[in-house]
Amino acid sequence: MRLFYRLALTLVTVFLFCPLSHAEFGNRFIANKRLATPLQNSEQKLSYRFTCQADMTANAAAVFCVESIHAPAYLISLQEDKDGEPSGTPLTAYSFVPKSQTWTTIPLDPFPLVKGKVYHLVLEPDMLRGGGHPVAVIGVSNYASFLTTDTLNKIHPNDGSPDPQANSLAFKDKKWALLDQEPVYAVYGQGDQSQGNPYDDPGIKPIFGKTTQGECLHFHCPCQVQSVAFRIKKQGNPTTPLKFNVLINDFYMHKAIPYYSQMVQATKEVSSHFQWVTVGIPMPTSNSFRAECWFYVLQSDSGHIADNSVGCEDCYAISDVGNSGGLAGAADLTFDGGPHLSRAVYSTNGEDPFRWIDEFERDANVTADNSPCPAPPDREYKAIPTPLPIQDEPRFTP
Amino acid sequence: MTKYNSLLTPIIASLFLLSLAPAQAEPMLDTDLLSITRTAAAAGVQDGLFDKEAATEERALKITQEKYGPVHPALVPVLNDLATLQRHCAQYQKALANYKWGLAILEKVLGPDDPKVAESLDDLAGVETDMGHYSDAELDYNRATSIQEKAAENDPLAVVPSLFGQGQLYAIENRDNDALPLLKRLVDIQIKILGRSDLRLVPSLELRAKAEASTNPNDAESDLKWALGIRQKKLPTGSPDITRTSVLLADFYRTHGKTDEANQLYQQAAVDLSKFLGENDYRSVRTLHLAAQIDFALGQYKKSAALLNRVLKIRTATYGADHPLVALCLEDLAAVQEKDQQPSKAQENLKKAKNILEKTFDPTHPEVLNIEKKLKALSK
Repeated sequence: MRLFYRLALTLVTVFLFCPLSHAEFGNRFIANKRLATPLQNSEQKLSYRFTCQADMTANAAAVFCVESIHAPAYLISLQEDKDGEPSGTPLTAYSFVPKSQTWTTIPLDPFPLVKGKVYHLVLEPDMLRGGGHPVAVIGVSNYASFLTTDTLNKIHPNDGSPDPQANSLAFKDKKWALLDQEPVYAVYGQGDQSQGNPYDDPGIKPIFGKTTQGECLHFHCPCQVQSVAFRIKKQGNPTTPLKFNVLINDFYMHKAIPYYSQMVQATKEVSSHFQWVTVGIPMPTSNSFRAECWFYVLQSDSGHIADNSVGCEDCYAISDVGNSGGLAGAADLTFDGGPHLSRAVYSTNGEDPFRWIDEFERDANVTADNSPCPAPPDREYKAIPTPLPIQDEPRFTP
Repeated sequence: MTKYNSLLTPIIASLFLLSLAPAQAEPMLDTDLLSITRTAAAAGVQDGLFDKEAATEERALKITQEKYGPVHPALVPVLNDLATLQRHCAQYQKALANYKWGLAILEKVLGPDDPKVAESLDDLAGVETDMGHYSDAELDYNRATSIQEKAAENDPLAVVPSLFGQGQLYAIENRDNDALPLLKRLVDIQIKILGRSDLRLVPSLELRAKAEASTNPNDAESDLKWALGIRQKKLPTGSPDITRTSVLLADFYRTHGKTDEANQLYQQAAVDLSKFLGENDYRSVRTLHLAAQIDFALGQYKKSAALLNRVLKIRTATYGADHPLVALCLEDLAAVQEKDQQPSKAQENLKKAKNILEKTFDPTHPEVLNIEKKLKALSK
């Protein structure tokens, strides 16, 4: 009986610290290429549809203009969703003139957005600019186009949570149509709140020789990591396999210390097209990931620099997504932004622990299959009980 | 040493695992602070710390407003809690303003027909009832009921608070004919969903009995017995909540000339309550008041006055000397003193009560007018 008691207590203790279920932590958000939607006549509109992630009072929005050719002003508005389309009634709106190849942040009259509700950020030519007759010209020589990216991820980029409503819609021939492209936008709220997709720059990063690429994942709690997945491809014919390295970031010394290493796969098994490749991490290493920054990086002895889309030949590449600059608070909108700051990392001298470069506004496509953190405390409040009406208090009746 | 092994094994296992998993302190966010503030407010209310918790809730409102601005629905639960605390503190104008602020946000953001708007209207109508603004309260309850009825498909019980509030309002106004059909509907809805023996049915049955008492005494008696039966079945024997319903039934018997039945119930109620009368804190004030009410009904005026003085002391300490609940207690004390042949003391307490009520309410408030009537009767 005593043995049973001892075993039961030990098991309870072990289970308390080692949750068995697993979750994924990392950047699954993919973009392969930029797309532009031109708004070239006064009837055309573009909508970025999204689900509001947290209660906020929106006071600004940002969009990326791909091309602006003698463009007129455009009206940006937030609208509620009605049967999947913008309601047609702006909750708040502002007029602006976009500039080519950059983000424009537009102030909005504060308007409350509610967590879980679907909204549209709508762009349309503003021909009247508040007046009674057109004051602008629009056409093939006078227009702006706005950015989307090719893969519709249906997740929020900052935490990977699902957003099944995310999409882009175009208004043409008097009706809205789904584009099935990823909206690229930001919405800002009071109190440093924001949400959106800041990734305007799809990337392919070369892995060869001492050029090593990967992602720093900053876990929010101590956890097991049983496997890590990378989205990779080969370029040309690499002669040696990929090597997977785990390094721990010593932020006091600003250096990355090797912690674990293994081969990924034979060269023939890596495709010429991007694919997710999973690498297992054996015990006891898999049990030892503390809540701090871990570098999950790939290296290969094969390959050389080349003037092609990847930047190397007979080598490997990893995909990433990033922000090209010009968007306020972009690092907070990227995956695991804010205080934890998971981010893309690379080195052109991988053996030197001090020569690692952080890219706070980029994230490589790397995810870890880890044990989930405990759920945050329940934040549902019970309302304070109301008193009886004063006239209904129990009274003495003679 | 062997006898400690059973404890040491799990401890060593814990230490080993802890060494792999050191805790990391996260910075406290506004939401954490807000959570602590509001949880503390809800706990403080249990002990009657209304003033203190209203101040805490004001802080929570400030944090929320800094984060979301003045028109976000995230403010509404904080505004409602603050208004409820102000209602407890008899700061009715402030409570009214905060409930209206919350209602305006919900109407703007969620639209005028959202069920949350109906909940807010119920709260608003409650404070309007306190203030004697009965026609405003009736309009708000009507609107809340019609919103909730539209949403009844999703939640048939959502209409219950609006119907109950409106029934309570009609009972206060002695509009029994208006109250009865409404309370019948209320009870029918609850029975359909909850069955006939759910505790949530009890307040509705008690309220319906109150409205039936003068016109359909048989129905009233039957409803009170039904309510008592539910409490007896669901609550531990001797619970003060059983006694409360039992006293309502005894009051009904007494006012309908069935003195023997009434006295029997009062005497049992007095015995059941006797073990709960030791404390002098906010949590026991309702029980003390109920015991005083029983002694009053049994003609034991000295005992009743002594208990009422304890209630008075607790209410004064909880709410301050100028709170309407203190005035109501003085009014009850006057009723005891009048029966105990102390008319001058009774008159003095009624005057004090009137002074207190006039500080909070308009001179035309029904409670003020009620005391004036009693004072006139005493001076004859």
